[in-house]
Amino acid sequence: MSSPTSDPDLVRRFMNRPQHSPFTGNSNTAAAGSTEVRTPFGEKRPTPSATPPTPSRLGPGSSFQPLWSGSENASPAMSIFGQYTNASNRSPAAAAGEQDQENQYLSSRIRTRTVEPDEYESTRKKLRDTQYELSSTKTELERKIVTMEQAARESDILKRKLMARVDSLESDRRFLYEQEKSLTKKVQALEEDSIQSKMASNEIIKDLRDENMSIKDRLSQTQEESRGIQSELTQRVRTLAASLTHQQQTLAETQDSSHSQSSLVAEKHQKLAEALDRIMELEDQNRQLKLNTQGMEDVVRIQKELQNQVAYIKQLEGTNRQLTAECKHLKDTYRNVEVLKEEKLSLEQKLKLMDDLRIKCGKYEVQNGVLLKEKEQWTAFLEKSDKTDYNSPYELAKMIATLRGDKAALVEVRDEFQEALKARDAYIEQLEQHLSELKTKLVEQEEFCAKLSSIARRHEMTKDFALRQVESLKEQLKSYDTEEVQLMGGSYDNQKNIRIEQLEKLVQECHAKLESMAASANSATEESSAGSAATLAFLQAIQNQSSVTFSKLYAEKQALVESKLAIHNELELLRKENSSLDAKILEHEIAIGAGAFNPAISRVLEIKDSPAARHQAVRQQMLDALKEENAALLQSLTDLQQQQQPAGHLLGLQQAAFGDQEVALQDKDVIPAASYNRLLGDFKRLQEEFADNDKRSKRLKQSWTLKADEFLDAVRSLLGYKVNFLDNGRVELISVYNAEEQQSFVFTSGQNDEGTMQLIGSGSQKYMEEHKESFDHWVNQLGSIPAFLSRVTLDLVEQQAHQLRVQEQELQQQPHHRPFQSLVEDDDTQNSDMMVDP
Amino acid sequence: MMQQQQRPTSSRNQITLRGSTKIIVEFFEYCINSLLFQRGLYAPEYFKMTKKYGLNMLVTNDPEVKSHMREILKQVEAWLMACKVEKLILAIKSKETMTVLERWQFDIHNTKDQSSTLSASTKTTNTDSFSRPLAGAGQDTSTTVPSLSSPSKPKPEKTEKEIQTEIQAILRQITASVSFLPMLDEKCTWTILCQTEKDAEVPATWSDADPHLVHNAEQVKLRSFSTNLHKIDALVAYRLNDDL
Repeated sequence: MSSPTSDPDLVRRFMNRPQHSPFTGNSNTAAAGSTEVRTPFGEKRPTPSATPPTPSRLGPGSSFQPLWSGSENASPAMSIFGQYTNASNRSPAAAAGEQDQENQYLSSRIRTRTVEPDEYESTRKKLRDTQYELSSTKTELERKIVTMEQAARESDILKRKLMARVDSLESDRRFLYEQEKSLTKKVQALEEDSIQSKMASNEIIKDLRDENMSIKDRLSQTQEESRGIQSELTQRVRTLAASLTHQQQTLAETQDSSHSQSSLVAEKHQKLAEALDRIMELEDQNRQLKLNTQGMEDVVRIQKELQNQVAYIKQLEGTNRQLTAECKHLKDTYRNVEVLKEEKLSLEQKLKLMDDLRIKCGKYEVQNGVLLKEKEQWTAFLEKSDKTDYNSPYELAKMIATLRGDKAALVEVRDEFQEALKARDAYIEQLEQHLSELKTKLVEQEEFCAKLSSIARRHEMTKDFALRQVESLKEQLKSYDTEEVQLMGGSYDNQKNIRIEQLEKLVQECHAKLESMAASANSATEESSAGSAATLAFLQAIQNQSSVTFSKLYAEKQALVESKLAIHNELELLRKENSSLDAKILEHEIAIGAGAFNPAISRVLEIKDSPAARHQAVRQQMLDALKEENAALLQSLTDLQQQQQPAGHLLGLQQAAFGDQEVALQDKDVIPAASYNRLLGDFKRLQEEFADNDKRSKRLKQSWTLKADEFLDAVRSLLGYKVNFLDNGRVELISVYNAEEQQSFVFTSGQNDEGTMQLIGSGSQKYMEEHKESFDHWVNQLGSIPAFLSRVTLDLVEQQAHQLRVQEQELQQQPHHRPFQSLVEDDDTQNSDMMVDP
Repeated sequence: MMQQQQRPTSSRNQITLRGSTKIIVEFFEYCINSLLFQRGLYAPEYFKMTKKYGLNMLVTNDPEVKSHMREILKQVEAWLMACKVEKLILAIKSKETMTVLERWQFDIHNTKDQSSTLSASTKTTNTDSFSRPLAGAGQDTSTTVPSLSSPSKPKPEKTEKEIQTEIQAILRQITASVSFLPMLDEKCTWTILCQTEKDAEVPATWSDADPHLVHNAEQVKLRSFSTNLHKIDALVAYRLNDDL
């Protein structure tokens, strides 16, 4: 704005600039340096200022200070740089240092004049050196002066150039001023334009607001639409969710069988949930949009997203459909699986039942064994005599039942008998009681009798005693009498007589008593005779007693009989036991015969290399080889399957269609080494078998030839012909009685080998002619070759006999040899051999 | 005790034992050969006929079978000499199923030992005589009683001819027994077992074996023969068909 006014200042600034401008600073100092050199200077000495100018402002000032000191106003150009000199004067310490150096130099020059000639020469030399140095420095300085001059010239040129530039810049300033003027004009125009444009923009804003409003309306419409779509979608989503839940339920049903599917469904469900979330987000966004509508872009975005969602939902529906289809399939499979499971369960139950049955079967088998043993015992117990009547246990049981019935009946009978017996016993007891009573009575009677008899005896005894007393008394009396007679002469006669009388009375009493006693005794005897009935009873009692003893004996006998029966039964039992033991022994012997042995006592040994063991070993080897082969083949099969699986089902199917052979041919590794080994083993075994067969056939041939020889010998000896079988089925018959070998008949089998023979020739023509007649007769006419042959034999025998007779006649006696008989004898043995041979 | 009794006659016993053993081993050889032929274990071509015991016997001419038989009989002879062998058994087995189909058993009783122990303890002989009669246990009870008393008297020595006739009879019976034995339809193999006493010396070539029991067996006792020292009882046990 103020450019036109500041033009003269600008020019001035340009004039003062060289000190500060970066592109002129150095050159100016250089120019200043060059001006310094050009000044008249007395002394020339090397200084660091002689070196090219340095960029520092202080350096030139300080170094050239003594040079400037004498000639401050030497050139007008220097006035321009006055400031700099002043600046250099500001350091007085440095200037003092310079002055000291100069003084030292001068003193040293004074000192040189006073030294001795040697020193003089050395100083001369030094002078020369310094002169030389001076000259060299002079030349250097001169050269520097030339360079300085050149630099001055260059600075002049530069000055001129700068001046030119100043001019051009001034012209530029003028141009710029004009330009500024035009620009202000332009700005004014632009301001006006801007006002106008503002107005226009306001209008545009208004339009835009209107547009916005319309867009808002549309947005609300679209929002409503979207809400409708949303509600629809939510409904659909709900239905989908419902269907999904349904699916989930169905899936849950099939979860066990299809974990992968359920996981997939879960994933889908998650995605749906995500979609729902998204929809929710969208709803939120919509709400936000309702509040502050940002424009069409969001709507478009929402629409796009909605489209995406719809597409996604469609995709989901598609996947859902697929899943439902899969679900159906899985349901079917699941049903099948369930059916199979049920079947499996039923089968398992069956298996359990079968196991139970097996166990039961085992138990029954054991029971059966026990029962069989029992049966054997029973059969052992039931001897043949016992089981003549019945053949089956049923009959036996029947018999036992009938026997039991009989037994019961018998028991009843026995009870009856026992009851009768008891009644009898009671009766007997009564009788016995009666008897005992009678006995006691008898005893009493006897006692009474005994008493009576004893009384009687006592009475008799008393009687005897009384008699004896009487006698003694009589004797006493006599003696008394005598005594009296002798001594007293009758003093107590009266008394004595009285006494005698008394005594006689007593005797009479006694007699009376005795009589009464006798009478009573008689009465007693009478009484006893009256009790003869009692004696009878007594007799009966005795009889009873005997009967009791008899019954006792009878009982004893019965007991004995019973014991005998018991013993008999025992015997029977023992016999049965014996027979059962025999049966057991037989059983044991059968077991021994079957090969049982007592391992405690003996051991069974077998040679290790027995034919059976060898066979077993061969079989084991075979089995091992086959097992190995099987394992190897299985391995290779699994390998193949593994190889085929990655190749894919289609390929596998194709390969299966092409067949296994190709595969086997293609893949050499399919045949394992084990099968080769097995085949080798088989081959060896077959070779051995072959060798065996060879051996066998050889032996067969040998035995056959032996037999054939035997047969031919038999034919020769029986039919008189040696039979030679020639080739082409011809048969040569040579008679035993032939002298020569050539005399033979040759037969050939008839047409079609039907067993008929034809004579086709003979060993010698002569021989044939000899028998032509008989041949004609027997063969041609009667058609019998055997008859012909027999004829020939007979002829030959007769002939031989005739010859023998002739020989006998000639040789009289010679041992007769009959080969036929000896042969027959041999044949006997052969025949017997043949017969024995099975 | 027994050794003291045997000592004076040991040399003679040794001779008779050797002779008896020889007779028995020879019998076994011919008998087994005959059975191998009769039961068709080898083809008829494997046999050749020889005369023995006044009979035409078939003896194998297969070197392998021959050597095998020789090996077995050699060992049997050794055991017989040591009085250790109780039974010799020829078992015929099915090649397919390895089940024992026939079992020809020859019980070897040492009669010399019995006669010596008879006097010592009649009880053992009693049980022995009880087990001896196989088929007719009930019938022979009366006949065994006098036989118990007989050993007290010295037995008359058997001549070789008598033994031979006995062997002949037993071999004839074996030949005849083929008629009642079931047919061996399947391919069969055979082995020889030897039941010995527990303390018998066993060579390395022999080993303990399964007793080769015949299941569901029917058995027929055959004749017996005896030398002066041994008594051989023959018995055949054969498997009955399961369906019968």
